[in-house]
Amino acid sequence: MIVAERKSLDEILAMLQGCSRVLVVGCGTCVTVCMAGGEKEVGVLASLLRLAAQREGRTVEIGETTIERQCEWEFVDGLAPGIRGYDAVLSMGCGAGVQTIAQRFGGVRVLPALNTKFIGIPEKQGMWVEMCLGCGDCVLDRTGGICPVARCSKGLLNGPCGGSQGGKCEVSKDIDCAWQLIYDRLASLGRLDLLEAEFAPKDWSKNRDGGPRKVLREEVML
Amino acid sequence: MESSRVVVVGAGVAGMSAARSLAAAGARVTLVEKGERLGGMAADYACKGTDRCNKCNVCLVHELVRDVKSRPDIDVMTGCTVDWAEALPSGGYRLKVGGREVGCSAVVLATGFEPFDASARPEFGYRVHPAVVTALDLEKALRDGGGIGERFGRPIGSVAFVQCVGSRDLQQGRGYCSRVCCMYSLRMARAVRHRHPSAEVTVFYMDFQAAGKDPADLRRRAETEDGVRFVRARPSEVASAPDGRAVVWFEDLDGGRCRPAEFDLVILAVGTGPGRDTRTLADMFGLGLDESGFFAPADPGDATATGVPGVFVAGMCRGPRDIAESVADGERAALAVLREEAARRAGQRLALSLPVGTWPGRRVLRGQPETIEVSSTVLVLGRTVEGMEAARILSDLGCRAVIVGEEAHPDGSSGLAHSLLARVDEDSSIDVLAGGRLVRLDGQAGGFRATIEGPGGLVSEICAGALIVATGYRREFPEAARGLAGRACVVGLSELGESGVPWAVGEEHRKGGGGRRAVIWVGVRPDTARAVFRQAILAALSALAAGWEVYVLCPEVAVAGPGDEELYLEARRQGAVFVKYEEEPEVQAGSALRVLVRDPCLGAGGAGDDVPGLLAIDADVLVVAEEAYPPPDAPELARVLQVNTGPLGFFQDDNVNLLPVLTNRRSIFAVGGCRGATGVADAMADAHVAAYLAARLVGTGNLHVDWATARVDQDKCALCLTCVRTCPHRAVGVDDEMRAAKISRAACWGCGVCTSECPGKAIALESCSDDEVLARVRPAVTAFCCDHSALIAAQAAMAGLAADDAVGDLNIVSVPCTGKVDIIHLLKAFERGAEAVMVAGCFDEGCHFLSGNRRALLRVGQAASLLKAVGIEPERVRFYHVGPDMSAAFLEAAQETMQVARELGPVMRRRAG
Repeated sequence: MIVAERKSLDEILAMLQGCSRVLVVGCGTCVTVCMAGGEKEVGVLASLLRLAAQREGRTVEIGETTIERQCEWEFVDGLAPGIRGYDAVLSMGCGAGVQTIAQRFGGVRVLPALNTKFIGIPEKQGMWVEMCLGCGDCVLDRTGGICPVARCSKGLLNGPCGGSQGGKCEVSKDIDCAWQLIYDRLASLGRLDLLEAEFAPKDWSKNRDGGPRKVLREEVML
Repeated sequence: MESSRVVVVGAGVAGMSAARSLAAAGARVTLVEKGERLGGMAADYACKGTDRCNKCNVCLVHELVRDVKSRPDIDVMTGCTVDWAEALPSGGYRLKVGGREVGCSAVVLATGFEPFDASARPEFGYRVHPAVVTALDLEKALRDGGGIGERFGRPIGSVAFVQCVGSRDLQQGRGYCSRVCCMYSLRMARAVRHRHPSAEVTVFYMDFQAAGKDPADLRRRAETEDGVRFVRARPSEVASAPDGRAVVWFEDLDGGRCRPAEFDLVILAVGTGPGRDTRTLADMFGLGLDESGFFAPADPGDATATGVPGVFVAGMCRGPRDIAESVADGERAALAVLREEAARRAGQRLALSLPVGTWPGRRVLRGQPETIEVSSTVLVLGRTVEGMEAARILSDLGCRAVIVGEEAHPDGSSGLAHSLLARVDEDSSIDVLAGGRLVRLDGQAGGFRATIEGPGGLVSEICAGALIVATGYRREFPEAARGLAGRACVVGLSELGESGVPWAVGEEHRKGGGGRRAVIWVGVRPDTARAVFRQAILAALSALAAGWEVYVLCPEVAVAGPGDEELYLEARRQGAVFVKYEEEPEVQAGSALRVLVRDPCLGAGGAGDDVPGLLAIDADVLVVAEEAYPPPDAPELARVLQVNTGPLGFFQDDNVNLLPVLTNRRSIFAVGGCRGATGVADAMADAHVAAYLAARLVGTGNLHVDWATARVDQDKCALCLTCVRTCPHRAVGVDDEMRAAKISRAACWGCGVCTSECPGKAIALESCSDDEVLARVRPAVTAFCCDHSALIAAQAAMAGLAADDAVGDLNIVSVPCTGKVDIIHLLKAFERGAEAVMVAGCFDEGCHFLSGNRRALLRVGQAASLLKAVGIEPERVRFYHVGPDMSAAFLEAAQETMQVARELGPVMRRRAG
């Protein structure tokens, strides 16, 4: 899933300067699951915006709504009634959600309440870790199901660098060396032979090199 | 039981527990109490929570009182005694109670105890010296709040507890241990230190009599965190110093002389004796008393039965026991009444009533009633004596029991085990899958599906409504003696067998022909010592009888069980030498066994010795008492069951609300050794209570759920699994068909933790939805109070005074658990104009729902940091631990919160200019 994190209140309050009518929009999919922008977080943020205004002696009107997915035209359409009455829409969706709403409603100021961080998993309750970079050219078949592109700090493809110490990455003691994990996993699978094959230089044209990416499937198009 | 009436005499802990349990099982109950209020002696006790719950169990008393009062099917008669009783020819009794005649099918006597009158020991100066008070006086002072010094009109720079006042005292005719005083003094010492951090506390004691899950930890905390000093001495006198302080005279083990020590306050830990009415009632019903004057059990296996049909005894009137044990005793007495009723209607299935809101100790909100079909089979894990006993009781109560697992028995129970094996074998309602192992558990309370892997990998599935975990414990030599295992002439205490086994077993280990000297080393944790010390003394006695010389080495003499002190004294009379060591003994290697141990009592006599008091004992046999550890597969089984483990890795959280046999999952019970209750008597008591509760829950095949539960709006659910992970009771699963979370109504305890954790706001608690909570939040300083603790304290505090005078306009919002308090509730309160908000709930490890208060503490911290982020003072939101009897503490907390509100003023600033 996409993992996001709420921006600091200072940052949010600064971008809302001069807005007295704000609609906070949550998203019921990834950011609900990662506890950053679901209905509950909408309630919390809306409450805080009202309190911040009270504190400064301002009056504000903060609307609250949560839609199923901010990245779908049909769901975003549901915002149509009333959205233009607000000075700003504060999206608690990921970057895709913010842009979908902005694109759908020209003339409406749409602002991000979250920083979209990565594709990852909740390693445990309250802690999310990055697992996938969306590089467009998956190599997990050759690395024991552990991604060196996302999980090696350098994105190395042919074994660890000299900074791998005691299974940890030199960038931080909190980061496992991905190549150590790959080695251990392949050893336990009895497939260390996979490491003998060299990785060719990565074809980054499948990632950012070719500009914004697009997936097109004519067989499902209308 | 439809039309039966049961009279319970005595509304103390055991009596209230029996009454509640009987009423819940469908009996009409008359509860007769001599005093004017419910609760008995325990109603005066104080919660001894400090920064954490110290497991004193006093909160259970307040809950019991509230439960009993709220039940229309319990007829409470206070200020009454039983004037006469007449046995009816048809069975049952006619009683004269408070001028009324009451007919009943059974009588439960729970008349409690009488504390020792400390003035009967004039040398301690009670009622003479103003610095001398009893532990009961201190209970009341702690309960009423405020300074202890002010209460007694004294400074309290130094405080002494004198143990065993009226206990283990043959001169007073009380040659038995009162069982509860060591633990209550330990907890009080902590409570005193908590309120007066500069007080120095000393405890004068003979032997530490432990109780509870991890008593050694509590003592360690008292010693290291609170600096409580334990001095092994039995003071002879408390005298007056010229400056008005009290002088405790005691024998100093180091100097070997009688020595004075001055204290500002001396607390006499008074023991417990039979109640005043015990003799009268015994005569009235023709019951036997033991030598100490308590009701004597007719059958040790069925401790609440008296041998007289229709008459049962429970609680302290049949011997000293603590609050948790008394609650369990009440349940056992209720079970005994029901079993007798069943036997009377021979051939009929026991008409257990449905457990309408009877989940023990748990007052819950009412929800939409629903009857769920459940399996009345109960799966018993472990072919231990406790497991087999539970199965036997279940069979009596009309349930089918399936026992799975290996044999394992507590010490000294092989005879019992054999008779149980035979009974289980011939009982057609009990199936045994010997050697089976639970590898997977699906489903929820009432409808578990257990996957059992049998010998040879054969896999079978059993549907069960409830589970009783009775996997026993593992015995191993204590760490200090571990190297001795397997050595010649070294034998484990449990290998000696029961008391009847001749000491000849020692002969085999004896070297050569001459020596006949045995050392019995009981170097185990206090909780194990409580269970095995009796075995050690019995072994000593049988060795003495066989002409052996016996030394018993132990850090403490554990004699809290019935008859244990007498046995101990008998062993000493016959010449057994008890060495209470401070440092672990050393066993020297070589062809002979030489045990080196230092006896602090001999400290002064050892002039010229390198180590004063060092004994060198050449032993022919060394008997080592084994330490109890959780079964080796406990972690794996706990994972499969999703049941929490507590201190030392035994099953069950260390939370008083689960005692004796509940776990974090409804309808999974832990009994006996696997939960750390390693003594046979405790294990059997557990088996009875668990079987009774399981039968009450699923025995009829229908479970009537009328308590409020949380429900998922499955359309809104994003299946993020937050509820699955955070539910303290593991009541949430995944509905594969709906692709949404699903909460089992049978398994849900109704705390509301999931509702305040759900990021999609897709869960609501019946009878306490977020809208309902928010509707009660008005523009005033708000206190969210746990229904089980702070609310009771708040109500008592507000009833006693003109509340507005004391705290002003405080808006009390009750919640079933502080875990129900959502971050949004806290913020909304401020939005609506509260200047400050407090959340008040149970002590850590004392939460009625296990961990809701920890969630609330996180929530308050989160609210504080969010408020700070928008420029609002974080100290406006506060968390307090308040026990149900701590009305004074509640008032203090409320006043502090109001003070913060006054000082900081409204959140909303006036517009500039």
